[in-house]
Amino acid sequence: LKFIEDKIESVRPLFEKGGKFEKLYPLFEAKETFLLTPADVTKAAPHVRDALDMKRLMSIVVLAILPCFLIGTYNTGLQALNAQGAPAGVLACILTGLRAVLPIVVVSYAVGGLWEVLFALVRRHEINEGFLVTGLLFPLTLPPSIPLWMVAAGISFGVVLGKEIFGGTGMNVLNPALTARAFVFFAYPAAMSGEKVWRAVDGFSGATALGTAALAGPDPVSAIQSTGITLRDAFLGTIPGSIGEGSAIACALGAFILIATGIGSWRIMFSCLIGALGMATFINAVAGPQSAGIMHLPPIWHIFLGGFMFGTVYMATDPVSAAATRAGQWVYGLGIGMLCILIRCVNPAYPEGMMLSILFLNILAPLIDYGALQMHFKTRAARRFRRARAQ
Amino acid sequence: LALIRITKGHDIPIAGRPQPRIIDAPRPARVALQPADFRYLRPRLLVAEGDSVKTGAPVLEDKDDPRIRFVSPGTGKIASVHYGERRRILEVIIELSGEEQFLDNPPMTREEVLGLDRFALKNKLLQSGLWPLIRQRPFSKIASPDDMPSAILINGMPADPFDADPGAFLSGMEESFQLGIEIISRLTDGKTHLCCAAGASHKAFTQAAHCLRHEIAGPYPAGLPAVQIYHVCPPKAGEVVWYISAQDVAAIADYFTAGKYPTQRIVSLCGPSVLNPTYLRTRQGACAESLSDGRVQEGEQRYVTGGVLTGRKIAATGFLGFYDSMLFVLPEGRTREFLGFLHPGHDRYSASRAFLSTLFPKATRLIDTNKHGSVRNFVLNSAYEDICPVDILPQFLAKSVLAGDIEESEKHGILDCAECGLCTFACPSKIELGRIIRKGIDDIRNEG
Repeated sequence: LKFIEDKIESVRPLFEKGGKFEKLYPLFEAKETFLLTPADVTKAAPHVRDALDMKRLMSIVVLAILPCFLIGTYNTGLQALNAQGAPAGVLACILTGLRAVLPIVVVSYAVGGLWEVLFALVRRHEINEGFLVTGLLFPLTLPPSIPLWMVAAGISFGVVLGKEIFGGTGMNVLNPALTARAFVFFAYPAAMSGEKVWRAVDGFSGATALGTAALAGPDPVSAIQSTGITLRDAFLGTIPGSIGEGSAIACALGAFILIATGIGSWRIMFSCLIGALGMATFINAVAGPQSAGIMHLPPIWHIFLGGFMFGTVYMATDPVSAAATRAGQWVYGLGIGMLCILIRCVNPAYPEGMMLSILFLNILAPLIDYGALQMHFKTRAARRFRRARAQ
Repeated sequence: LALIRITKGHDIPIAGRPQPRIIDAPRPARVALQPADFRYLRPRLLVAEGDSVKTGAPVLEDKDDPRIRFVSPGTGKIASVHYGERRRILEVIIELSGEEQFLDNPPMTREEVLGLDRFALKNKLLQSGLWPLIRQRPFSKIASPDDMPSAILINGMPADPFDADPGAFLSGMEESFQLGIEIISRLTDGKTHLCCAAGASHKAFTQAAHCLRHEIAGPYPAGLPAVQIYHVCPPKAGEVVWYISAQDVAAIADYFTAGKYPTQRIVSLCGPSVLNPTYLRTRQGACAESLSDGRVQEGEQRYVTGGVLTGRKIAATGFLGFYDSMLFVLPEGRTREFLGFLHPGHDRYSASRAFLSTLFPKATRLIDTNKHGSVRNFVLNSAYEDICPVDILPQFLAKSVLAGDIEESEKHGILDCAECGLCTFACPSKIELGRIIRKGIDDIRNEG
């Protein structure tokens, strides 16, 4: 430990003002504070500070994403091997999955990280830990067959236009990972939707369950089940879909970590769920025999299929782009849940509605917070006035 | 009597709570007046280095209102006057020497004191140099003698769990305390409130007359008068509420009955670096050395006059603040840790639940001055939710201050901010929220 400290101190002058690599200071700072916690002490009151910082916070979010990454990787391998008709042992699934997923994650981290560092150097701010989350979330929302250059283009768009031009983590309006996905989705639709993209095997066709439901008749459940997918598969995540989004149980584990540590808002997750269940029940009730099959899909299937759980747990709860007031978070979550199901059901072009509904509510979040703040001002002033009069 | 439950706040389990046992501290060699204790004060120096002063002799006055004066808390010689940037007076140091001599003032009986009218009382308080003990909300500055406060609040609670608890040291001072309450209550046409801790059984409180008694329950900062005022008697726009601590109320009564400037103060010497945290009987403005000598651990320490979340950093050779009844000593935290963010955190303290320590709560933890991270933009909003005792949303308020939007800041309730330090403590982005909000308060005052 002493060795690392000495080493850092010996090269520090090179990076400080007047040093040879002065311009690279943010890089030095990031590396230094990654290795060793800063020695900074408080200058004035309060003289003590909470142990929680951004590094810790983002590490916990990454930890919460890991179950999705692991099960997603396994499932990617499983789907590929099944499609080839090869035997799908656990180890084989993981190895095959890693071969497909790892390059995507590496490209996402490398290209996105490059932008992050470039902006940090030019704008002279610290390298933000938030990127560790964005760089892992984005690949998990992609189909396993996506070309790597699209991953690079997508993460570049997400990091630069979704975040950095606003001033970095904390200043962004939209969730950067979803911004990246939205870019790829609309720029390269053929690679992002349709039937051929969901398995890491060339030329194999197979729709996602939501896609099947969208085209099915009044009994979408049997249509889905006829493709060999049960509710149990949907819950475990052993179905074709984007890399990391499929497993409800992995998402639930992530949700547990985020809620237990208080880092993800349970209000948003819960209200999102309520919104989706409510809207699905409502649409079930109004759907007639002529309606698209997905309008008959029971609420529980909506929750377990597609990116609903993944979006609810990891994307909707992004504290920067979500509503920040408590009352606002309820409205925001309900909005996402309801809108997601509405898009799935009434817009046949998008069998998956989670991305669009979250982005839409991201944009509305400041307005929701504005409304919630006005309410807060009113109730606070009224309470205070009552006390002033009572004395 | 009414019980007021304050639910928001947070008790940080720092080690070093004091035993409520009073020990006589050695007589300090030096005492000081520090203008930084008084918000917005522009002081004029009335003495020069080398002058001899008696206890109670004027040393400073307020340039904006020369009736408000600050007197020497001891007999001796003006040893030095320290100036800061732009010739701002930092401290006026008085070297104590010889027998204590007081500025002449006739002692009065209780009946004589109570025979004085409001005008005479105010004049005596101003003359004595005790007037600055009375402060006002909003702005936490010295009360303006021409104002009529809508209420006065006497704080009978320790400011935080480390502060000297009046309930533990008012014994023998009951009469002074009661007389003090009556003097104070004559300064307003409104009510005089006495706040004490829930369950406080000292008869100085239970038998207190001429005031409305409230019991306050809740975590830190329920003991801060600013928080109590928000919950008991918040000033309406344009109004002011005055406040004073119980110890100072008794000191004021002592001044009237003895005719001598009351120099004695009970101070808590506390914090993780203090060997046997306890109460000490010392003087107002005493040098920290006289309290800490032989009672503090070796190593680099931070000395704070006042609470650890609200007080002022002083040198080990510095002085107690005018209003402060605690000297908090904690270790400076300059040790670095390898890959600290991966640490399970069974020994870290956080108000959040992001560390293993949440599962293994301990009554006390060793917490030092390390910031535990570097500054980032606002990210996590849940960090501030249940912490602000006066129903402010700190991150939104700070943003409105940064945007220069005074109107919005006032809607947030910026003038109710108790400056308790909790939002800054809890901020995972390590933003100095308190300093930002304080700047907003200063801006409002400066714009009138």
